[in-house]
Amino acid sequence: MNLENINKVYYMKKNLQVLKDISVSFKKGKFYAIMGASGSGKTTLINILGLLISYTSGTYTIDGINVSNMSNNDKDVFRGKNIGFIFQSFYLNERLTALENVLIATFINKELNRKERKQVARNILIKLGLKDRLNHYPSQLSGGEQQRVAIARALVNDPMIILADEPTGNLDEKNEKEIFNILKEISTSDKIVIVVSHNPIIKRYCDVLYTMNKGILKEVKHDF
Amino acid sequence: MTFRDRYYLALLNIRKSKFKSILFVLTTLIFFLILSIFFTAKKSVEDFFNDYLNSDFSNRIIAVEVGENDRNDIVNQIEKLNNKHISKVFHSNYELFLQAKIESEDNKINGYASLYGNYDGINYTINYGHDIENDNEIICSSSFYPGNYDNETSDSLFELSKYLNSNFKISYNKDKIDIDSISGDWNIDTIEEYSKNLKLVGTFDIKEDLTQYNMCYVSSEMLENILNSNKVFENKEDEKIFFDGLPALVLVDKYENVQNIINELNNMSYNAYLAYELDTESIQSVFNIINVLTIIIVIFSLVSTYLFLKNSLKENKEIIYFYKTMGYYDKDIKGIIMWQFVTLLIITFLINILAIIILKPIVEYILGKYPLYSVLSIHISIFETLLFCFLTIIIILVLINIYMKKLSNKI
Amino acid sequence: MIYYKSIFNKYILKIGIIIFFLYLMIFSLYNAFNQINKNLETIKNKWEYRTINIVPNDDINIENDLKKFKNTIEEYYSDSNSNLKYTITFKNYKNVEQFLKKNVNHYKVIEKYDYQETNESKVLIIVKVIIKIINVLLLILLSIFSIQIVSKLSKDIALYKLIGYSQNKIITFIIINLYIYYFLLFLFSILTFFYTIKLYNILFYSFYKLNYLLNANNYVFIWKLSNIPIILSFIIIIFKIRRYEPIKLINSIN
Repeated sequence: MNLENINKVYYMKKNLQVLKDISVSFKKGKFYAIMGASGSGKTTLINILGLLISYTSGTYTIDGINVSNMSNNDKDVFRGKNIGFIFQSFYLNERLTALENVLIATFINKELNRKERKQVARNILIKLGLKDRLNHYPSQLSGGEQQRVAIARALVNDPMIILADEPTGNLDEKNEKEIFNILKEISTSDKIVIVVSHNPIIKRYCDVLYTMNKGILKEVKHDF
Repeated sequence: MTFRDRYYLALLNIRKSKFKSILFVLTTLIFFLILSIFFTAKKSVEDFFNDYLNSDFSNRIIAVEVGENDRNDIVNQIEKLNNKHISKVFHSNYELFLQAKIESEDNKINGYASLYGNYDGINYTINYGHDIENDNEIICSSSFYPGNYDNETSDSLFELSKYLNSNFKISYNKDKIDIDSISGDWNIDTIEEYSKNLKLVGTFDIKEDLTQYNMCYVSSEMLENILNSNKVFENKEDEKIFFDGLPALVLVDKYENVQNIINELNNMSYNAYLAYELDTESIQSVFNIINVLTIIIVIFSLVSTYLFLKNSLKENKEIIYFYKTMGYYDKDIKGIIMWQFVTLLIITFLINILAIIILKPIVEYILGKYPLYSVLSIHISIFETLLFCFLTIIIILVLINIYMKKLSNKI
Repeated sequence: MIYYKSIFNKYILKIGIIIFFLYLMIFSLYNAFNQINKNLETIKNKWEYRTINIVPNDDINIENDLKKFKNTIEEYYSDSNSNLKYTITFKNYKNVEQFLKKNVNHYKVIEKYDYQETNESKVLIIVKVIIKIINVLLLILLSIFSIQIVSKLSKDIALYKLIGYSQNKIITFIIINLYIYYFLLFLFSILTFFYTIKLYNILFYSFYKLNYLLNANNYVFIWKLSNIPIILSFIIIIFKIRRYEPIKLINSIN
């Protein structure tokens, strides 16, 4: 993933420049962390990375493909196949069980048949330690379990990019560690994992650390 | 919190969720309109039938069977009763009216009309001109069909008020009726054609009198004159055969006196009955249909409104939670939400009244263009809609109370 | 089934109940409409309007003509005094004109009562128009509620877009599921309507019997009519799906 001179300006009464000239590359097999105070623009950046919002100027390419040429529909489809998004508020469908929540993501994959889809969804949930929770509804799961379901949903189509925006914001310490462990493990399997967080323990897990301050991205060298 | 504060917050909520408020008003307005239209129609129809019973004089005509008796005898005997409620006795329905051709001086109007005599028991309301004062005058229904009855769908009626004080030519035939005693053939030959010139001195409103079109009144003497001489029979036997089976007719002044006179005549060993049997079955079936529809519409409106209000209340969930976290008393929150809905409902009701007031003349104008429909006059009935509005407010109050109790239990 | 489960929240189910009642109302009004038509036909088919007195012209063999119209004639007889005067009563008032038209110049019509609109029939016609107007208002209500259902699907649409569904896929499964939902509501309300009438007649048999006068054609027609607001809501949702950004889901919750 390559970003060159990305700028994001919100045009209102007073123009608000949220991102200033961001140029960065993300490579496979690495765990990237972006930290910063609230309002610094980290969520905007990750939303741009996840093709959720557009940028004002600059170039963003994924695997050589220029993202600005894509229509909104194309972006949705691309995201489904190649990007797994994890949010602070989980965004699970309250009316579906854990298994079904993951299952709906598999319907994008046309190559699998019904049986295979169910199998894939089950496997990934079991892998994340939710074997006994497959048929539970989100209201019956703890915060950590819900986030794991959300991660399972993000992973089930084997996307090459995983983006997480404050994934542990609603969780307690024990669950936080579990989630970061999972994310770390994912990054080792040749995927790009980018996590936005203001939680300092992320420093122990990430390979590369960035900080975001008033729209400017800076890499921070640190010891792990 | 004072009432002013609560109301201010209610208005604020309405302004904030403009789209939702407009949608609420629109949906409730349609419910109200359905009720108003239905109950207005119901009232108009019911009033129509009540008027109909009293104003159409054919409901007040009693038939008396002649049988083998002498027709003149019977007529004389009934007239001798001197019953003040009996306006006139006719030998048969042939004496009641004359079907004549009617033409205006300028030939634009050329059609047929039923000519009746203006006996005492016959009522009409003159809207232009004045009543008949002498034998050379005629009054007619204010709207007139040109041509003949088949043109019912034609939408150009003549306004006879424009022809006031002009002359009309009434043409009718004198027929000779000869019934062959051997073969039984009926031969009806026109032996003479007559016409009279009568001056149109007034018109009467059809709707008020609920009569049909092309109906005119002449003086009773004039009518009797014509009817006495427009049939000639070959012999007395033919006359008897011609009138065979036709009852004599008695015109009563008011519908409420009809039954008494029928009883009196029956007591005189005549067979008397209402000549034009009111088809009460079809009137009754209309009322039945309307009553069933009323029940259905009322139940539907209540149930749907209840469900709709419940949903609308849920839309305000966030505001209610917000107020609760702010620490407002339950009483105040209830007041705010209640005034929110009540304001919207009052607005809806006012729009409803406005719509009905605007629609009434438009509908009457459209009805007026179609002769078929102009018999019905519209009597607005908003009472039921007002009642429904109050019911809605009560439902909301109850729902708010239940909802707040539920929330208190939750928290 | 999963799609069905995922998009049908409580709110949509509650609106579904209102739509169920709307259908019930439309059926009731339509039934009353048919009842009125039946009454009108009864009025028009009164004995007087189906009966004529005629005298055949010279050289006309009336028995032949009567034979041809055997199926439409209820009864006829000739006058005992003069056996050339015939009184014919047809089964339906329409047959009178048919007979006379077919046998033009064969007969001299002595007595024929042409149907005149009575006051009852005029009022019945007006009631029919009122029913039509109320039905239109109900269809407008149906549109409003269908659109409300569709507007409640915004969050689900955003979520599906977030997961990566293409627009076409979302459009397809939402529309199919909603259409099935409406159809099931429709069928269920037909059943309810039918049994309500039965129940009513059992409870109130002495008061006024409700005639069940709707047939399959009527229902097909009503379904086609009610498709108008449904399709309108579908157009809106297609528009919404095309326009709705998943970012709004994030912003709406945050």
